[in-house]
Amino acid sequence: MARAGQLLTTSRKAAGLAVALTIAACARSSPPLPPDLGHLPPEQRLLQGDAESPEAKLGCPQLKEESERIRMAVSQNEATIAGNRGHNQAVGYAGGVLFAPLLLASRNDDDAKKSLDELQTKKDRVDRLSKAKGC
Amino acid sequence: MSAIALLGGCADGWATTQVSPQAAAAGRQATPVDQIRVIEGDVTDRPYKSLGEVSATVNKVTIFNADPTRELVDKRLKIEAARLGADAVIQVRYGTVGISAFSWGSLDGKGRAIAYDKP
Repeated sequence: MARAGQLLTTSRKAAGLAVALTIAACARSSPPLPPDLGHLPPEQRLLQGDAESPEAKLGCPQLKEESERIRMAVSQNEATIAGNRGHNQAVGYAGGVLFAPLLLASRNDDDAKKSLDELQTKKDRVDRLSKAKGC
Repeated sequence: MSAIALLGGCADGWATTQVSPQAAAAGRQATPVDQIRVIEGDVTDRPYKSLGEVSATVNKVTIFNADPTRELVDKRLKIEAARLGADAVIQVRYGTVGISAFSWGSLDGKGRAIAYDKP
């Protein structure tokens, strides 16, 4: 009897943890803002490391292409995440109402989210370089 | 059930906002919200002062409501920037819609409120 009680407590803790992990993992927060460089002239609004980055060697047409590549990659990642929204909502509802372990079946899209954050950093850098070069 | 239906009728869902004003924002008059521009990049064609960071999170009320959109986040960002007396919100970026601790669908965004230097 005591063992059954222990098992129940453990499974409740596990389910609670799964709920917490799933819920915490689902929404992606917006990436942090870059430092405020507004007090500098546009051609000097670069961060440490921008001038040594591979993008710094690109001319204006290539920076424009790079910017377009980033935009397309962002769209692809967002589409991946959006494509899993219905599934995650169904799993979240069923897990919350019927059977908590179902929440483990949610798709967190961690790779796509990480990639979006990296792409934002790259986009910011390409924007800074484009504007510093007067593109 | 009727409470859910009532809440479900709120088109914009519920939202939270956060503002971190800088010294430059002190004493400025509020700007009309419809005059605030939301820009994803930086502004380089005219000088400006940063007034502070603004952020907003829009949430859907029930699982049956539509997901929050970037337009709804922009609307909230504009309201907060207007209070600071800003002309625009720059460097705007967004999260992605997902389940959060208190919502079936949550989307956040942030940006930097700025005021153009007067000639």
